[in-house]
Amino acid sequence: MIDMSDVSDLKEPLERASKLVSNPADPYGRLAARRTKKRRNERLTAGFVALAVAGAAIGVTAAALHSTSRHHRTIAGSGFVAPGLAPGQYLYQQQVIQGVSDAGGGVVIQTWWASDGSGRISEDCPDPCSYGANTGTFGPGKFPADSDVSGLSTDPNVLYDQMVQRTSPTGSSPEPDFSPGPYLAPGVTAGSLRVAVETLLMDANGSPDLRAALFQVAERIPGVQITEDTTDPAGRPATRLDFPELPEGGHPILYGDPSTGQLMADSFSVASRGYVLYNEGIVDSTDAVPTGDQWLFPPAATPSP
Amino acid sequence: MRPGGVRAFMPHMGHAAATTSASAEEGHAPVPADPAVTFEAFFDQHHERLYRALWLMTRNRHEAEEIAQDAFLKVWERWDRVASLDEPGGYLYRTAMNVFRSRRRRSAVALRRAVRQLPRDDELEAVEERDVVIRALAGLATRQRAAIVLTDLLGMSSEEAGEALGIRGGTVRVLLGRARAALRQEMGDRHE
Repeated sequence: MIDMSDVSDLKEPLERASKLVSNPADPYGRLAARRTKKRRNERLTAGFVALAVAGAAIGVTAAALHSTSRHHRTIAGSGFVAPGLAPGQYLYQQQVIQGVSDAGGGVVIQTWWASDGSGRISEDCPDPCSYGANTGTFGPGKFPADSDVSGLSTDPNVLYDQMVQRTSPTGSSPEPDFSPGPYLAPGVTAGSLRVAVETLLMDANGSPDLRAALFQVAERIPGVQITEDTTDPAGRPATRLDFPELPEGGHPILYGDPSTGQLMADSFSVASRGYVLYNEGIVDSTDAVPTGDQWLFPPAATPSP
Repeated sequence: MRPGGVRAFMPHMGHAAATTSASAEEGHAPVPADPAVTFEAFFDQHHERLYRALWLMTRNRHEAEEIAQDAFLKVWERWDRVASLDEPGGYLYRTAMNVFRSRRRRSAVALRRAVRQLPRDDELEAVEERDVVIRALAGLATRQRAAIVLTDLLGMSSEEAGEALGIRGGTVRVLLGRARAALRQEMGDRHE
């Protein structure tokens, strides 16, 4: 029996339409370069494993000296007051992502995260939507996040060193998408540290006090330009961090709440690349949305830009 | 290049995982691959078609090329084994669909990275202005686009498309029903 659902008269129109796109330049050359780069990174990683073992004692000493010297640095935005999460509490985040929908509207992702790794994610993406978040309700330890935040300190001094360690070739942070900036430790540049910190800040897991400490680590990354008493894209009072220019042009920008050190928005100096607004609070269930003083900072008046 | 080292993509994706033992049963002893030569020929044969199909699915030529590059790299790294399959093209398309699916499962962080790193496809907007099929595809959800490209363009059955997309064949048929109706209506409106 013929399955009629497999019979169609649309092959020719689709064939014709598929030929309307131009071919990329030298795709095989790009593939060969990508393969070479991957192999080189694998060799570098193997080399750094040996280096890390051989130089562990030296590393401990250097880290202690590094930490001591930072105590004398003036840190803008220090003195944040941000709570931890008690058992049964959820960090609620509403993220309005502008620029990823086919329809041109904002994608709104709501997350509820508890410190036991449980929570919920919901998404409102205009149809048609090219991207999809990992939505659903998740039991303990099942919340989908890019990074494991367990064991990270809420003391920015300790956290700085932890982030440098995670960013090393043998650490758990993702490979950087670029590598500008000064050399900070074997395999770690200012650029790769920014990517590691930013990845944690943008993810929906992590208690508010940890996120405040992460924002302070971001402030210390060499090359960052800090602007206080400014506003985020939604007009809220904010501290703005501008990171160095990327090789492909433009630079990342983070906005933090001056009181709690929470990430309020992230954007890019090239306007066409979109931006994200955050509204954040603490609630007692995965069905609740913060009200009143449950908000950690003023929610944006109009969530959908 | 060894004879038969590069085989045309066959619509029966379910056969893609066939091993060299199948060839042996047919009386053709497996021939050792020459990765330096045959992979490049394989790339030349399949890249354009895969890239164009992915472009229709993702509606962004930059993302289509990224997915194609990821898929070809995975195949290249396993070329010794893949080259001896009955349908290495089938393996490539299944790998590409896995990359496509995993990119769609990305977290909110990755969504932001996509916003920053993926240039806008201005070419698509220009084409959309003048081509009814491209415009009609824009009105479909991503899974519907994927279903119709895999079946109607690449010739997979709904079961094979379902296997590639990680969903049931019945679900593909439901997706296809709406997608085809929308495309036909758009094209019909254009001709009236």
